Amino acid sequence: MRIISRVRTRVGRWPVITALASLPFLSVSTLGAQSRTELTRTLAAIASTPLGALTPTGPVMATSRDDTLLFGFRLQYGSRGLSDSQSLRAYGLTTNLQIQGGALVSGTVGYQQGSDGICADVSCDDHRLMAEVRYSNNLITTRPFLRVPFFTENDASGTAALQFGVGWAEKGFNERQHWTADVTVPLSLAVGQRVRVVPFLTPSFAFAWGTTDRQWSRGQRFLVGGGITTQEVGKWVGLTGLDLSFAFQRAFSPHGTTLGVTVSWMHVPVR
Amino acid sequence: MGLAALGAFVGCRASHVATPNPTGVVETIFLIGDAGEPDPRLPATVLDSLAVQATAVGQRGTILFLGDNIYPSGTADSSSVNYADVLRRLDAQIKTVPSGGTGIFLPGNHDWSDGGQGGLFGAATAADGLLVIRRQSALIPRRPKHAGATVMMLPKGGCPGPVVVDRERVRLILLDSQWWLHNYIVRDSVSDDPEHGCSTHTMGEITQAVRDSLKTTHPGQSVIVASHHPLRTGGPHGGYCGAFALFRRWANTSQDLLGKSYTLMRDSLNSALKTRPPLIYAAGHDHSLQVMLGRTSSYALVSGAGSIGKGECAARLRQSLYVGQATSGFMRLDFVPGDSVLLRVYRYDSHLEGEVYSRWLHDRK
Repeated sequence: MRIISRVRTRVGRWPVITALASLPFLSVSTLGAQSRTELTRTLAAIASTPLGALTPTGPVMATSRDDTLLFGFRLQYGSRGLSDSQSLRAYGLTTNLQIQGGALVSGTVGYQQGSDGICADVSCDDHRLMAEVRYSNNLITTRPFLRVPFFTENDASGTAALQFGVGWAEKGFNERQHWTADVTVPLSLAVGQRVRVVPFLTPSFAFAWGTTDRQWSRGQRFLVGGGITTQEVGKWVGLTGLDLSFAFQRAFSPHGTTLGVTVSWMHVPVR
Repeated sequence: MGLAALGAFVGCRASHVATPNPTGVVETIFLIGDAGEPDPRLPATVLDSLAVQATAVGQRGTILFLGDNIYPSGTADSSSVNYADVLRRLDAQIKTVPSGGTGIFLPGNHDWSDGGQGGLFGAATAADGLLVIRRQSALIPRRPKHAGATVMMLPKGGCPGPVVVDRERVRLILLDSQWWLHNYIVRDSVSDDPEHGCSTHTMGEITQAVRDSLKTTHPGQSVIVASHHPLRTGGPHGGYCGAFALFRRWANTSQDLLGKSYTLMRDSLNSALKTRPPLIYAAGHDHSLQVMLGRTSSYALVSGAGSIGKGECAARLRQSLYVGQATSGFMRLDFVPGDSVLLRVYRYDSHLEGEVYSRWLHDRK
């Protein structure tokens, strides 16, 4: 019985890994044309999914390995400026789940809204739904290695993590649905005792797929995100588990920057 | 002024509370762990400071050495070439116990010869580690000490415990956690201490004895359960820090929190503790200073920074109240009448010396 369940677990993992690894090779052509939003189509795909519509967040504060479960929610807002004072605004709700202090699995649903005038004709929807699944695992936590002015107690220690994300967005703005897959290596520094100040950087390589009619197109792009998270900011008002992030997500293109803010709350259920 | 206020606000500067009048302190417990590698080339700041504080407290004080009293392989045989070094390491700790004071040494994994493989020039020759830990247990009371000082190893003789030590204001429940994790022992009466016998021989007997010890406290007593291995830690043994933290999670290392034997021990002790959660679960093992909220105790303390130069990283966990990493130091608990206990953390490294954190502890469970 034990052996069977073990085999099942392994069989369950490999299709996911194989699918993720082969995603870049499934496409048939390259995104490149201009869309109605004047974004390149690769960037349009990225900007449509939570990867680019919202901004990255700082690392989640670790929980003890003897805690079975850590869960929480995240509310996000992201805004990307376009030409002629137009913009894309996105709102996201994320659920985070971590088991025994291990990998963090996040699921996001979001809504993106374009500013007035972003659509030139009536057949164009000026909003879309989007979703994302993200897997994040901490790779390294360093010893304190960097002196930080005014933080006499604890020097900054760093962390590096590895993230895989898959995002989707439905049609909108005269575009068909989009998919993205990304590999991200979030890097962060953390200082402070009661409240933690965590500047972070999220270099990321993303693949994007978009479809117009029956043609799937693919593109890829290097992104850099970053920002600053204040962990346990709620302790100032007696609330634990509350973090606040201000961040950006930049793809190196015109109109390639999203600015955003995230409020997250994480909780360890008491057993 | 503004920056200092901001610093205190975000907790980057030390957090302190008002300290009690020394005459109002009924009992003082010092927690120091992993102190078995005093480097003779470095100033003995931690042990010296401990000795000064313990002397000031006198007979009201108890020093709990939370295991790994002798690195790397426990107490060598007296004929061994490194026996003199073993005595140096042990004596450096014993001399911190003042006249009239009490020093209790808990066994750690290194005192059990860290798995039993001493090697050709290592201290250990017994594959099962029991011989090595029994040797230390017998050696400690015989070493030179200050007049009137009491020093002992508890639980002794490779027995798992628990051993209960009652003071006026505090009950200490002491465990040999390496007994649960060691590879080469039989966990029944075969592993009994041939000289004194063990009060418990199986995991079930231990957990039942812990339950009983928790239930029979005297009115006004706070409970500290102590062992070398923590039930909660943000250090390397908890699967954090370093490049291999990710892999240690699955490595099934007996000394890591997620190892199979360790998980069994954690689950067993947690099940016993939650029947009547103690105020504190104190441990060493990770070389850092951590004050955390406990799962089956009100507070979980890791004070394993007794050796200068062995400080390690410790991740700040959601349950952490204070984390001192890559440093050395110890903790101090002052028991006052009522149910309050003052915790103070002392650390000593290149840019900080002395008290860095204090907090009044109360039963939360």
